[in-house]
Amino acid sequence: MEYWANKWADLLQCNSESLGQKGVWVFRNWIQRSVEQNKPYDKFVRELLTAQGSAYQNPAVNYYRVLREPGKITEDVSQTFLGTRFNCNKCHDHPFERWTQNQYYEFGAYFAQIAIKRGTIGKEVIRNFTGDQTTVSGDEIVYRNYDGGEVKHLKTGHVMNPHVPFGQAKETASDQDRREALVDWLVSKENPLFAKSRANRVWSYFFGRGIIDPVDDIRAGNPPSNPALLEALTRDFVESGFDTRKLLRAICQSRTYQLSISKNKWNEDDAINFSHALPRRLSAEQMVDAVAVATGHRAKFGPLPAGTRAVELPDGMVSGDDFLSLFGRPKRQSACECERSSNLSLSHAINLINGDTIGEAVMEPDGRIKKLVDAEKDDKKVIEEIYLSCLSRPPTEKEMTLVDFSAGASRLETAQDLTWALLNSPAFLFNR
Amino acid sequence: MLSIPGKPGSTCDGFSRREFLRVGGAGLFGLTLGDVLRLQALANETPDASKPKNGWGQAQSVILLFLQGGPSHIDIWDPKPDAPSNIRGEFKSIKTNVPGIWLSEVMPLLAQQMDKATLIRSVSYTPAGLFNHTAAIYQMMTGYTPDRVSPSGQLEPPSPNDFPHAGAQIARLKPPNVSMLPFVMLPRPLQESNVIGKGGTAGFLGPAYDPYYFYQDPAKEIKLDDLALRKDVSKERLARRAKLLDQVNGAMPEIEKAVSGYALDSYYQKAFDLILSGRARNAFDLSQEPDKVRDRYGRHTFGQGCLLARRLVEAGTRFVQMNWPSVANGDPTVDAWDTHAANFGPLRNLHCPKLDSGLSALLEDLDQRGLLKETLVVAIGEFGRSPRLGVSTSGNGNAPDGRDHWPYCYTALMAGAGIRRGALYGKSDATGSSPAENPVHPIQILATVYHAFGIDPHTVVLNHLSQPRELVQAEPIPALFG
Repeated sequence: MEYWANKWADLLQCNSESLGQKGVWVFRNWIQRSVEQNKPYDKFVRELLTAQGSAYQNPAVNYYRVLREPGKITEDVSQTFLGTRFNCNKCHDHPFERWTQNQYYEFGAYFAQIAIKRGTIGKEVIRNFTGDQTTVSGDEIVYRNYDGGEVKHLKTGHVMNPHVPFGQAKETASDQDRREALVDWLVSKENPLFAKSRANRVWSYFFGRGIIDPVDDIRAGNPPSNPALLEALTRDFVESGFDTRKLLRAICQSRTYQLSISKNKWNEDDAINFSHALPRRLSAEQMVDAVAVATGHRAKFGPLPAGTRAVELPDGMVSGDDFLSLFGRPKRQSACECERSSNLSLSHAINLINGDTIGEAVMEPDGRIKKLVDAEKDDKKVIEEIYLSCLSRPPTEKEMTLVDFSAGASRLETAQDLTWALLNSPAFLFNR
Repeated sequence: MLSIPGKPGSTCDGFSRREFLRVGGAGLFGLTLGDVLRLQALANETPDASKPKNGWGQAQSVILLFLQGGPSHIDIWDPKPDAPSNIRGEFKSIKTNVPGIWLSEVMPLLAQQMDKATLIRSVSYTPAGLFNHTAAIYQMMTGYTPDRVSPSGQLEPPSPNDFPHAGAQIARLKPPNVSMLPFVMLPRPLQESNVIGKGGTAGFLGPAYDPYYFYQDPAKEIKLDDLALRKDVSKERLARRAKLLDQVNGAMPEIEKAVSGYALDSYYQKAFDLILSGRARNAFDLSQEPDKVRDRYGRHTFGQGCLLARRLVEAGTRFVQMNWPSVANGDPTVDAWDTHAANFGPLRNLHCPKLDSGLSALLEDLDQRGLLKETLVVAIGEFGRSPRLGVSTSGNGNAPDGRDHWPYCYTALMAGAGIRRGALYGKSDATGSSPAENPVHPIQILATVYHAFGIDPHTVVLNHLSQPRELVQAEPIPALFG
């Protein structure tokens, strides 16, 4: 649940620099509840994009508090919900695709009348990611500005009327909220990109790569690797009434998802057709939590209660844990999936070898390893237990022979070192 | 799928799922080590024969002393004794050990090392829009002007879409030959008021190329978290663990093969080497330096930072950036270069003695050790200060004895890696207001840094939208090398 909520929180840029501490909590909780209820995707997007009112009373409006102006809204809404990037046609017609500069401003016109005013609860002092204090506004109210508010074309300076970039949306009367018409069009079953972009994105969360990839750059010049597969997923998703959980189930039960990372000579060169699984590094939060599960040692995050898991952190900027940012937890300042990094480099290796996250968990004086070694006199059982807790599988016969408890070091040291080695192995660090 | 410009047929293999996500979408920056090495090989090729060879590829390292805040060029590097008093200021000029080159009297130690450096007295640019510090700093560090300036003229915070700092580009294109931190920034972030770290990141190259941020005061005791061995793990035990890790991984060959694109072995090997060799830890250990040397650099943050920079370069770091330790805040009792008020007293008593001892000691020390041949030293701010006292050029208020921002003409010092010794390049006019000869845009200095590393400044990188961008859109200045 938290994992999926975080995926949304990343995309919707749930961060305390934009929203303040309280804003982050209410927005994150709203996302989390929507995930728990398996809110139909069209309903979720409708609530999000038509939201108005107080940020604390109607948490969905926090999306507009992050984005704030029609240009940014245009770019992020199109990238997030249509999987299409509009940032090129802000300044000129897209050079290779069908998007025009007019369409950018016509899309933006749907959001031109959103206004934000200060709510009743005053300012809030937060710590930013460098640890310095900074002041953000507290409650804010997102409302429709009935006095107008229009988007002007960058080049011509003309006021642009709202129009959708393809298909047909209802006309809006001047006393209606333009967003309703846009959302009717956006989430309709006829919109070819709404369901498709979501199905493709969800697929990518399981395989590390979309059928169209990058997942937020759908365009004629970037075709799907398997059009029939994507069409089928999209059709199922629409027919189910945008049931996300059903989509997840279908993907997880597929033969494709069950494939192992082993390659044979026919598919060893393939990395785009899902002919074998590709290993993916665990996300920063998953790593921290997996170390805690394996060792029974859970790091504490700033002022949050002990036992809080890393995936439960509401914010990309909760200070006090360098590990998470080093390992790529995004600051949530971009609608791009690429903001979350999952590479491994020298500084990561230094941290895994020598840093606190694994170091402290392994060496915890009263930790699970100590108790295991004290209680279990059979060395083979100790090895078995450590493999089970780190890799969720018993050791092979060969692996049984890797460590020698009778050699120089103490039994405890040997057990700690084996745990350390398993936590540093790709078998632990990668999802596969 | 991934083609490196100018190299048809160069494709990557063996990269991860994630890397695939980035290739095509986000560009070249999720590269594996193998790809980086390949790129490095490309970058090392000599450029077209038509391009100037002067100074090409002579630098192994660069030390950038970044005087953030904008130091007054007239009061330090480019004295104007014949100008009216409201321009000349309070300081006299003094002879240096190079006939014909004069410095301000507040730089007596540097005056004795001028035979090792070139002063560029014609650095100049006209800012687009408002010229506050952050925009100017971003330009100096990345070579590009920031595209998002808020109504206050200040910038948004660092973003993953930022253009990468030159040090990150160099760390990627020319990784160190030994296991060492490629890019170190000390002792505090780039900053203007609430905007912290803008221009000081690897931006769209991804955090893997961010500098190692060493934000501590090197004049005090230094703490090293990751780089020092943990108290509870001896060297022998860590070596034992390394061996065990090898065996554990060896027992899972399928997985090892599947993640080969991540080049884990290579990173782990380097990391073990870095920790066990103590190379970085040693470099940071200033207590290994004799008192005499530490005193010569000056027992203050800037002086000890310069000394630390030398030690890092010796240990193999490619790019060391020493940021001036105080930030622009307009408080005349603080040694920040942003002297809107009380320009002279603090310069004489606070700032310049530190700059003078640190910079002069660095030049002398590098030269004595033979390191100046392959180490490029650059000292520069994001702009200079207004020749006339007490006028407003940036919209800020200025006291009668203050100087405002002045990007139209200021001075940079460069030395080492073949830069001419005891030379002047360019010339300012009679009042230090604009270049009289050979104007130099600050991004040409970046281009010259790339050139000195043997990297064509026009090398193409792909940004977060996979758009091709040159490292810097400027030509190097071969005439600086002699």
